Amino acid sequence: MAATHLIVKKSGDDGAYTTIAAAIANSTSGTSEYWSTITIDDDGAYDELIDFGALDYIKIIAANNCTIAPNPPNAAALVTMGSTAPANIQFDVANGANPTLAPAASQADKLPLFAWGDTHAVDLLVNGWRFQPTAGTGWLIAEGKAPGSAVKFDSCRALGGPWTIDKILKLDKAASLTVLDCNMENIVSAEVFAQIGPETVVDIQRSSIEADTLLAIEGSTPGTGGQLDIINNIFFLSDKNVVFLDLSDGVNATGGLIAHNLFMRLGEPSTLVTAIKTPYSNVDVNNNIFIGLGTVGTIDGAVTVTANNNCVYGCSTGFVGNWAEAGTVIADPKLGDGGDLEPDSPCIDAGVDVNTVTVDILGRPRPSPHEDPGKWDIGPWEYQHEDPGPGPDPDPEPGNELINATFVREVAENVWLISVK
Amino acid sequence: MVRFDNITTEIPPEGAGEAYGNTNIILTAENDGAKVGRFAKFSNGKLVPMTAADDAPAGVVLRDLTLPVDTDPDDAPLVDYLVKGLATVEADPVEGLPEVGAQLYVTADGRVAEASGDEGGA
Repeated sequence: MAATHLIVKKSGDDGAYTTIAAAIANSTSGTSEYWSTITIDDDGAYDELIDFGALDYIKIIAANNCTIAPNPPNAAALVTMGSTAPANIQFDVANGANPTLAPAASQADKLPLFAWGDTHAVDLLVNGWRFQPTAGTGWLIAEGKAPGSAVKFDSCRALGGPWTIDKILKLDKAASLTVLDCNMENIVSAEVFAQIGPETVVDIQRSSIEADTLLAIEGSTPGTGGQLDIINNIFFLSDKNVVFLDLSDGVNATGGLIAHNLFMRLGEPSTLVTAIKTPYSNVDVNNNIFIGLGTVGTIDGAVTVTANNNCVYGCSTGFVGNWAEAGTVIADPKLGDGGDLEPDSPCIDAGVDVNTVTVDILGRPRPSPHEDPGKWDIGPWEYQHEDPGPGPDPDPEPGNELINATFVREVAENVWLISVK
Repeated sequence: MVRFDNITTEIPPEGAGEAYGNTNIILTAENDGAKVGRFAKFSNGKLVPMTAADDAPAGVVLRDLTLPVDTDPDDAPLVDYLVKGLATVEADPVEGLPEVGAQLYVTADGRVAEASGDEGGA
């Protein structure tokens, strides 16, 4: 059956459905090549739960700043999927919209925004949505224990709300967890950001997260392990006697990289918290900044772990144990407002070459294009050296042609919003 | 104390190839390699990449919302393209941005530029 493409508007104008549930009821499953879509095309508040039922390959697109804010009489997850079969589900945006999932069930306690069961794997991608529960005693973002599930959050933001103090993501047997360009600074109450399985491939990049512990493992049986990449993030650590990124408790990494992150205390320095604990010799710790912590890193077992060119400042203890440590900078990294390195920062050009990391937390090129040879900085931000200007023989552009379009504004580096006449 | 409020949300979720507003004129055509977020031209009834700045641009190729996000958008058999309205487009890098309302140029590969390119600057 062909994919369906339905529109939702509260006004019902132009034949649109007036509720998301009605659109779902009239949708069919798409295919891996042609997804079904439901486009929410107004900025209304939708007081309804979303249940995809048996639908597969279906995407909800917010084309305006809508809010999905159900206040059900009985506490329930906001979005359910994969109840009778495996499901591929996406939440996307268009037109630069900032839609919000804002459940208001006051009796909610440890309920997920996105939920699926123990049996049918779900492939969930959420791009550009905001999460802001407004009532209840503790919400989490996603819970699904079906083996083989793949979960990806891209450009999402958790706003202030009653977040659980337990775990924000419960993905016990997931095949993969990907978090890119997300702002999770407002889940400060969380003890654990993500509960994963022993085989989960973890990729967290260009995000900011505040929690006691980044990853935790469910169950005592080790799996085969997964790739672990933690790159270009900002982590705000608590003043507790915990390990923020503990790979020794069943997180069975087959290899990976912890690079270009900032691990720091926002308040007074802690003498308790440890940033990293690892039993693996194949997960390198390079080009990170550690500020105001109890211990930077410890090793679990008789292995040697690479730690190249990290910056340690205001910490009680540095790398403890059998680290192959080289190039450590013990100095104030000199982070300016907004985090960018100040021009006299000792972290500039002080990192080890990490050829697989080609952008910084803001998506700017790494290393800076205006230095030759390029060198990697320490930390999430890459100092952008000034353009020395054209050389004696500048490369002239071929003649461009005038078009009937005008400049409106810049929306990203080398991406302009224009008006075509 | 340093502050990092909203640091990652300053990154817009969209790149080039997004239409804004609801007064645009958007058409659909068969695609033969036209690149999302750039101006494209017609050849044999299909959208293809521009190869010279004086090609007649058909419009800005838009991201196909019905495809999975992870799909290469340039491989879409049918694409929407904007002929009038607001859209994001790849730009030829410049040191300073044009003034709002400034007339724009198109490069040989379908990006927008602030200058004709043969005058040594804006």
